[in-house]
Amino acid sequence: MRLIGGKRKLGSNSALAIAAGCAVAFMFIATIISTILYKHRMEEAVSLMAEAKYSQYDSYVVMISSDDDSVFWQQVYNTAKKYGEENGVYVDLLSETVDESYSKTQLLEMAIESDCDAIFLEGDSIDETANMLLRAKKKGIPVFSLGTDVDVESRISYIGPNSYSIASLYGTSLVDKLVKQKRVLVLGSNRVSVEDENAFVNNIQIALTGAEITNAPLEFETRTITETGPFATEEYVQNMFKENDLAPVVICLDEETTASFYQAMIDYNKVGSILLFGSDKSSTILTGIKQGVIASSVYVDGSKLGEAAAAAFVEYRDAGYVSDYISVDAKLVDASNIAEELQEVDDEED
Amino acid sequence: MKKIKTKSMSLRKKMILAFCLPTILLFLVNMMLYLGTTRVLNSLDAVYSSNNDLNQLSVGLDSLQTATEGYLNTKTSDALEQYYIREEEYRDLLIAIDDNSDENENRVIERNIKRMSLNYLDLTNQAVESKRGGNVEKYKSIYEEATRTFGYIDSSINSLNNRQFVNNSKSYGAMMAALQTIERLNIVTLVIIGLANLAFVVLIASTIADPLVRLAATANTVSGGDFDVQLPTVRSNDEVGVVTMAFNKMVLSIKDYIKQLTESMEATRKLRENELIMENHVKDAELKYLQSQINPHFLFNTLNAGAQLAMMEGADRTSNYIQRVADFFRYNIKKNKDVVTLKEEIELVDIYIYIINVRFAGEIQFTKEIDEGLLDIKIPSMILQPIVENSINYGLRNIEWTKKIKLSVYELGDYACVSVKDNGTGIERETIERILDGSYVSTPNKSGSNGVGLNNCIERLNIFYERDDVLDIISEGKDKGTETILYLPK
Repeated sequence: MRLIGGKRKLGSNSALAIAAGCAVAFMFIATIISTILYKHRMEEAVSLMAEAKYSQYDSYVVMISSDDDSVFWQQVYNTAKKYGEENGVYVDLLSETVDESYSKTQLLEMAIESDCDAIFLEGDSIDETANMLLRAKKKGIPVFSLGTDVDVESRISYIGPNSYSIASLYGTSLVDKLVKQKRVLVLGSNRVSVEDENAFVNNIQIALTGAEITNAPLEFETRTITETGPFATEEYVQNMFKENDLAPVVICLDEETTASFYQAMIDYNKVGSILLFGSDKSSTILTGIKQGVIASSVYVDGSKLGEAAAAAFVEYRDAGYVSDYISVDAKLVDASNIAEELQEVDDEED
Repeated sequence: MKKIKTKSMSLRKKMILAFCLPTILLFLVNMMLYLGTTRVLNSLDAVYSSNNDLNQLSVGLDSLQTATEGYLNTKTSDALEQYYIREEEYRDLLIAIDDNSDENENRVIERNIKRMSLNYLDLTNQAVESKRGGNVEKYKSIYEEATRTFGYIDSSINSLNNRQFVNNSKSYGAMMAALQTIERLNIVTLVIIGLANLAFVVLIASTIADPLVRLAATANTVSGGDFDVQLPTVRSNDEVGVVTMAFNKMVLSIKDYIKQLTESMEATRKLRENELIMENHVKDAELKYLQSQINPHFLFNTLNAGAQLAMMEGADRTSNYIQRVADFFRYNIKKNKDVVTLKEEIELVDIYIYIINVRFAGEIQFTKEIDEGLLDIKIPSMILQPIVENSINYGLRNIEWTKKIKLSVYELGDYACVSVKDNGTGIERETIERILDGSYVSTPNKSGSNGVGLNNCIERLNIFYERDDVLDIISEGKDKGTETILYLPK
């Protein structure tokens, strides 16, 4: 018995030594695993602080429009940006990068002071804009006018639709829809100049020449919403309806005016009594066309405009010159092709 | 090699190892965790550093604008100096702003801030120079332009600051989450290491203490007198191992010593026994010496001459008597050797009884009952005759009734029994015990005795047969006779 007991004791003694060794090994393993996990988590945390590696661009182009938030100009911007990225151009919508709300002129000045490589500008006929364009020219910054042209001397190239072709599209639609209306009201927001309106009326009159219209010649009235500030367009349109200061045919020259007028027609139960022709292509406008409230709308494809603008700059940068006019076709949306347009919008949203 | 090293490690080193290893491990783990946490905390400090830089830039810009305005307002040299200081400061601050070409909104704003700031510095310089030159129109228009640019820069800085604050807050949140994870990891690791350390120390302490416990248990058993205990095995060369080895040696030495002592005592006892035998032999020699005092041949020849004379004179009974006496003495001469047969001893008793009956006129009735098959048994000489003589001298001499002696030889188990029974006075119990244990002293050379006492017979029988129960004396009391029995091995 003693011998057996002795052996058992010796056995347990060796087991103790082995167990102690295991404890030490366990400690080392725990330390190593902990170190690995710890290091991994640390690297994760520190990597958050590390500066990211960005792609480099060759040219910095600022884009300025009258309404950067509109669907149209967002489309132009996104397409130009995408095309630019593929060609070493960074297109910056300056109004989005600063929190403060600046005017078009201020944004132009900012772009000039930032020493940008080019400016994509929605043209206008405002003097301050012209002055800024002169400063840009002095500083050697090329300006590309988009949609609406500026003084030919101030810009390198104009990218946009032909104003006559737009007027022709409206003319065609008018001829189709007119019954015996005679008075036509051309309405533009404060971003549309009187000169532009007049030019538009001239062009449409030329386009309608020879057309079969019951009460020809049509009487055109142009109005520009001169008020500025928030909700100016909406309030102006509402007032027109309240005062019944309307015409049987209304052509709105921009997206905002079209949407406001469309909503007012429903609110004041004028659907059917006013023939509304709009501009641009937003989901609201397309819905209006689908409902038959808006007869038709003429729009320029923003993506094509953006791509053409970016391509024009790239060509100018690389070759040193570019055509001073690059045409982008305008399109007409009416009941005949509204289904396709809605499908396109759905596809884009998807 | 490692095992041998561990075995030969001293107790002190083992204990130092047992305490130092866990301590060092815990220290290292703690240090690692501490350094890691410090690193994360340092990174946390850096999270909002970009906001701080932009705030400083904004403050610098404000100061420069104020200084420019101050000079244009006052045109003092102090204001001019102030302007230059602020301009220098702002240029220094601008170094941190990167004029980059990264495709990232924040980086683009940073680039614009840099470019606009450089243009702004040019404008303020031009304004100041124009003011110094007294060109009122120019400095005014330049100042207006500079002020607008100042507004753009300030606005851009604020925008970038806000954007970076949002990003930094995200980073801060992520880092805080990481820190919390690390904190939990620290706690879990420390708990695991702590428990493992505890287990390690307990196990090592048990490993060190176990041989001591076993040694103590064995020592306790040995102290209780049990030297046959299983000795603890020496498994290490440390102090405990040395003590265990010494203890084992000590126990073995004590065992050897006890064995030697026992053997020595046994030898002493045997020596004493031999001494006793020698003493007896000396006594025997003394007896033989006394016997040799009488010239047996002279006595024998004399008695033979007497027997022939009696025959010549026609005294046959006398002749026969003398012849028997001569035979008695001849036995003593012939059988002076130590060992004789039982038959020869019985023949001597017959002669002796004849002589005694002649002396006492045939008053002793002697009967024999002999198992003839036992007569060849060897016994020491001169045993039976002294027993019979004792019966006559002490049992029968003074009795008034018929004197009887019966000699029987019979078999009892493994023994041949020789019984001499008389019907004399008997012997008291105490006397029998004294005779048997050798303490009874007879009176030697008593008249009528041949000189060989019962004591002598008993001692010789005990030595011859190496046992002390060869002879037994039975007496049932006074006047009830005595029986002396010899138990002789066949």
